[in-house]
Amino acid sequence: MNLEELYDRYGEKLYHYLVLRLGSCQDAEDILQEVFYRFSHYSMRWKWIKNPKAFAFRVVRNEANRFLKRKIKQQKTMELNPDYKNAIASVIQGPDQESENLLARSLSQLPDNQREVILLKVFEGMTFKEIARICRLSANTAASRYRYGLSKLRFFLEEKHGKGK
Amino acid sequence: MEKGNNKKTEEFLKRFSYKVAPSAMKEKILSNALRRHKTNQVKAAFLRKGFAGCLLTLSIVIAVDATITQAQNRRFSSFLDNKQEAAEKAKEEWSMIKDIIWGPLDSSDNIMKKKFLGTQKIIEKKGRLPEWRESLEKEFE
Repeated sequence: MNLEELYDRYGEKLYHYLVLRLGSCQDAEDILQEVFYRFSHYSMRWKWIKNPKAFAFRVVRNEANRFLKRKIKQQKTMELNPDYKNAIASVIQGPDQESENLLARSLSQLPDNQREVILLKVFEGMTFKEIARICRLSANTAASRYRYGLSKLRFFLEEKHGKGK
Repeated sequence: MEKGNNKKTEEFLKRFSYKVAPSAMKEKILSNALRRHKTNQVKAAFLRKGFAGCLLTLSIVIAVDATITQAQNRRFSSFLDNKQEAAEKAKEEWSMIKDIIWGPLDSSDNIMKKKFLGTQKIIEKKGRLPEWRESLEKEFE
């Protein structure tokens, strides 16, 4: 599998995942570039990978985690990018502007691990088994994170605008 | 946590979809990744060549050193052997000459002794008895 083919298959998905995870289009682009540079070394290995999608997501996730760790070290506190809402709005399309803002605000308030599982499950359509493989969790943990995340999300949605039902 | 409420939230989330990523990004990311990959490959090839060169030089130095040491050892041992052989040969020759010179003569004859001692060098150089000595020996016989 060459790089272009790889990008056509997973590039955009990985980019969306990164934007929603990091809350910055610029950072997402930088990391995606780094990830594709890494993929260029793996050209021979793709044949032996059983689930290339999960593998690609895992590489991206590891790179994103590394980036977040560096960021935390620099800032000494875990703060989301203030432009998170704008970043979400730039990759997610909703029925109307108000819903998009509402989702962005609610997603930005979720804990990182729950948000990650929700993004992979809802927007990527992955199974809990796949999510578990990517995040190195058990499938049950992934499912419970998803459930807790959804109920929190519902709480934020209801709290602010009485929507989301 | 009610299952039904989560279902509704899921339905709410499903109303959203991803926007298409900017098309220029693909070219940018791929070209950058390939450029970096090529640069890295060139660097790696350069390093590999350098390493191979170092290895080759080192092996040549070791081989030359081993050859020189071996040749030196061989020359030294042959030199020692030759010396020893030469010394033994000289000793043998000298004992033969001594037998020839002193053997048949009276050892108390000092004049003859001196004369013969003076001829030692001639014998060593020529490798044989001087003519006068040969004739002298014939007379004695």
